[in-house]
Amino acid sequence: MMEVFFNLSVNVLIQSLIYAVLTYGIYITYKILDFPDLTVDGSFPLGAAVSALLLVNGADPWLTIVAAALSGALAGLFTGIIHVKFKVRDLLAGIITMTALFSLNLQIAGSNLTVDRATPTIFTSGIAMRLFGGLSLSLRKLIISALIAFAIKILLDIFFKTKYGMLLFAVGDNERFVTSLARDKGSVKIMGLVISDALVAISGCLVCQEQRSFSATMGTGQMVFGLAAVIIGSTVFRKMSFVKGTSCALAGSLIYKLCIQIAILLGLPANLLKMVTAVLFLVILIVGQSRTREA
Amino acid sequence: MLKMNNIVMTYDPGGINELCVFNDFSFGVKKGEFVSLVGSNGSGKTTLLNIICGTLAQTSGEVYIAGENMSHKKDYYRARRIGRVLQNPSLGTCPNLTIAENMALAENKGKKFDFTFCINKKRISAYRDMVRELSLGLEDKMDVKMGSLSGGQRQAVSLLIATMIPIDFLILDEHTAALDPLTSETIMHLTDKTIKEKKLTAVMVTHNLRYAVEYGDRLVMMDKGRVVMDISGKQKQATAVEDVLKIFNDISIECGN
Ligand SMILES: Nc1ncnc2c1ncn2[C@@H]1O[C@H](COP(=O)(O)OP(=O)(O)OP(=O)(O)O)[C@@H](O)[C@H]1O
Ligand SMILES: [Mg+2]
Repeated sequence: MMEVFFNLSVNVLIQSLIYAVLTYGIYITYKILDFPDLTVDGSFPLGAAVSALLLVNGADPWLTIVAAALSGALAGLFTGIIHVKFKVRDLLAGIITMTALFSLNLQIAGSNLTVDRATPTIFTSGIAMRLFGGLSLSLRKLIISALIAFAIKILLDIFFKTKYGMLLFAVGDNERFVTSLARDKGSVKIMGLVISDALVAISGCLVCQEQRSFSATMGTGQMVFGLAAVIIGSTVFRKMSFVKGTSCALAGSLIYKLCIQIAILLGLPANLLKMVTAVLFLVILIVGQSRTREA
Repeated sequence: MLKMNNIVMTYDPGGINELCVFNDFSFGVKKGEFVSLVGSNGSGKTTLLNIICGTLAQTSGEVYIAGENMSHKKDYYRARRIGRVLQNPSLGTCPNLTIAENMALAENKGKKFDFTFCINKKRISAYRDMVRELSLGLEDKMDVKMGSLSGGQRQAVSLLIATMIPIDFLILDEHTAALDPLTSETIMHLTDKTIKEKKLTAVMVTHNLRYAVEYGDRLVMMDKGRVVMDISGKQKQATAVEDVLKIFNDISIECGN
């Protein structure tokens, strides 16, 4: 009993850590840029598809992270250009890219692609084995995902303090101010989308390596998950302004995955998961709104 | 400093709301001049400033700033040499960033926005000294978000930020209109002081005829996209608020208002 419970907890932690990378991306678009980026539902499986294809062809598992990031960056670039240069509304720009990516992902990896047990992943090869080879697979996964999630978080926190990072905040806050700084606001927005979707694709790549499979439908609902996580995180810590946005996103991911796991333990059929997610998201939005109205 | 030749500006050309605001309009500002621009609502003042800054593209005509042909240059390109303060105090800064962060960004205008740290700890005390000059007690609030300041405080910081790095041209569009009379007076003093100290060329739109008469060394009145009064130097000094008001009213009566 204890062991089942322990395994479940470790699994929830792994899930929340690798999905946290996606929530960082959503934090950038939704919270910083004020851009609801639906590209996510396409760039997440894109990262997974790219990495699955590369893995089955014997690529270095760490390199697939870089490749996934680049593919996601291109997806974000595409949405950004549609929105900024062709003046397509934010939501529609994301939907266009997402729809195109669905076909692209099918082209890359088919509707399903399994990475068999013999294929090395970042959790079962190279530096992971050298440093943590003595540990069980799930503990190794936990440590590696924690290292990645925290490393990316720290890099982002530093980036947000740089001149360029601050410009990202400025463009979401007051576009005219960015113009008055003699900077093209459009290119700053595009850059934000590029970074965000690169992170989302990295998350997709990590999920693919963790579960050793890609499926074309794995992107459905990821944007809503990420939004929910970011909103939960920032609601929980709203009184503590010193808590960083990335920390909120990470915490939101953990709380969300924990809630879902508890719901499943309580007997929620897996088919209803997305429905529950939608209801949960609606509740969060309504609660969040009524709070701002009171304030 | 500024030269506008044969500007034509038509909103919604060919559409049902087609409206020609300027038809063959020419205007110039000399280096170091401080122009007060007045005129009734809808006379085209904001449109004029937007054409200067590149926020709006003129239908035809040319805009030169400091000798450079800016007619088809983007707004952010022109912004390098222009500082701008608008009527709405929340448009001049980022509400969710602190005073220090806003100032650090402004100080970097025209330079590279790279991956070096935005806030240089050594600069904070310099920023604080600049803010102290405003005499609004904001020097102890460097880490407070802009959004939590009052409109007047925000406008003062906006003015400071717009003129923080050397610029050729300061553009003010009714920048005291949203403030109470006392704060408005304070900001106006500050504006005048800044323009004189930094020897800026400035165009200030205002509906306060007293400001227009008291401040600046040239007074321009616009009506329906034309300049109807343009005085400077001794002639301006000899002009009282009542004189300007009379002309203003005469024009309005002509229009049947
Ligand atoms: N974006 C726009 N689209 C269409 N017409 C516009 C637009 N902006 C302004 N106008 C019209 O152009 C004319 C000049 O407007 P403008 O804003 O330049 O006047 P203004 O002198 O700044 O007035 P105010 O004193 O009220 O600020 C007005 O008749 C206005 O209706
Ligand atoms: Mg106006």
